[in-house]
Amino acid sequence: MDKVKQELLTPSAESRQEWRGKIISYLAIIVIGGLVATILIFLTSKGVALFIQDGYSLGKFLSGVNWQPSHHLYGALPMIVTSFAVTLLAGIVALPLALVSAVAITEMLPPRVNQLIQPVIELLVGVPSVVYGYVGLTVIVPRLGRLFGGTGFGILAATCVLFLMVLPTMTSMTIDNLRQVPKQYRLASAGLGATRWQTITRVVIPSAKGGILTAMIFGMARAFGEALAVQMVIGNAAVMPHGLMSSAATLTSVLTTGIGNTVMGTTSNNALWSLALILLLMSLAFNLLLRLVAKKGAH
Amino acid sequence: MTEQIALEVKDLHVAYGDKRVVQDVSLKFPARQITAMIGASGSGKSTVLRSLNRMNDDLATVTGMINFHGFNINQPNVNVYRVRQQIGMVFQQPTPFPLSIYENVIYGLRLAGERDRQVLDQRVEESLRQAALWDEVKDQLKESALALSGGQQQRLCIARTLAVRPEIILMDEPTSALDPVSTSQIEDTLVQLKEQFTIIMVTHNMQQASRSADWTAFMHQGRLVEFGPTSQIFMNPQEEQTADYLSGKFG
Repeated sequence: MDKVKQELLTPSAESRQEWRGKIISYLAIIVIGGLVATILIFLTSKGVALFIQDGYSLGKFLSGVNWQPSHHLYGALPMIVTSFAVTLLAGIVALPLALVSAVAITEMLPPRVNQLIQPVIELLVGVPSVVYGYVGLTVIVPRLGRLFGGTGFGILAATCVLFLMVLPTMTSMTIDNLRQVPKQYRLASAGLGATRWQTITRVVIPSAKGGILTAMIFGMARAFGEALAVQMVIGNAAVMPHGLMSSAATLTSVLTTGIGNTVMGTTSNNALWSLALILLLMSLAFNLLLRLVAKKGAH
Repeated sequence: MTEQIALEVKDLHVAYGDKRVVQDVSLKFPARQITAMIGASGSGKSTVLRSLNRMNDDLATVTGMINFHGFNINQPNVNVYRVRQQIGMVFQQPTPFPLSIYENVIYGLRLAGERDRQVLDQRVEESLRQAALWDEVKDQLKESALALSGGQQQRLCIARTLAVRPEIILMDEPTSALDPVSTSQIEDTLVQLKEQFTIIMVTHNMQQASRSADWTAFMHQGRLVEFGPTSQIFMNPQEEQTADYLSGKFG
């Protein structure tokens, strides 16, 4: 009896393994959490320096329309507007196309065709953004220039490039969501005399609504944060855009262009960090939105 | 005995690719009666059932005649959507759509273009009453159908089929995913329904067939072995295979 009790109370290979596993997992979590916290603290402290150290007013930063570091003017509104404009435009164009292609792939095309298409779409998701930027630079910009006059650089070019970038992401995620709609829904709908079109519009898409919305927001978040490809085609003029063909600059493109040309700790450098902070807050907002949608979709 | 015939199947063959799963089945389903189709898994009974309202169109090659109102509906130029409104189907898994109870019931009517609120309201109540679900859900019609229990969901699916006012209702093991209480509720419902509808039901449950069906068809390996009044099939089967199956020698 005592022997059994003793054995039950002493650690064994299994219990030690369990402990080791726990320690490794907790360490990993601490490292990741620490990294995130460091980024947050660093970005926030750098981002508010413009307002605290240099005494630039937050209102002027957010509502000012002039971004002229040489004249000590740091109005971020043009970039904020441009970032939202290109993201929304790209999203609005990509949304119906992504939905229609996903529906075609999951509901209509024979399985063999879609075994071919899906890997291609997934490949496109993984193409580096510089490639999209290059395509924009060499194919889209010159054509836009010829079509509408001017250089071709600008909001429309950026929208086109972002559209190309987010379409595969949105399509691929929408496909996954449509696949998750139970097959029985389609059967039951057909059993009630529905055509394929009716089944798709009345049952399949409404059931996948939450997931489709998530795909759209995810795509837009990607577009909002994209720097390189946009910077290559948007013209990089930090001014308030006045049309689709006008050169402009997004938060990200100003950051990538400017960060190497300023000295750490100077006001103009701090202003860039403030832009970065806005970007971070926006991605947090996108994240929260995604969670909210996912939560609602679960009901 | 002169039975009215709701649906007649003549020389039905069904094949999935090269695989023949149903061969030479001929059957007459009496109107406003319950016909049960029994047989082991893979005997082809579900395949026959799904062929009756052309649900196998995309999956299999169905040859032979399916006469409905003296007219063969197994022809390419027949409007399958109208066929399925006349010959509805209830599946094994309760599959309410992720919509409200009300919207679930009127789904088929909406498809058919019915817009009149009064007609819809009235049809919802009537169908839910027929499916013996009205009293349980009348105060929560606007709530999600997914919150219902499995048995309620299946009765909702029956109501959804009834709302289109079909002549014939096909049921593919309608209670196999349900508990015994829900099963017996649905069986009671079926007996009520046969006053107005012809019911053809595939079942694995022998007691269910003997309890609720007027007629029973026994299928084995893709062929129809025996068809007759349920009491005769169960008490006095003419074929040895039927007797063996019923006594549990295989299946």
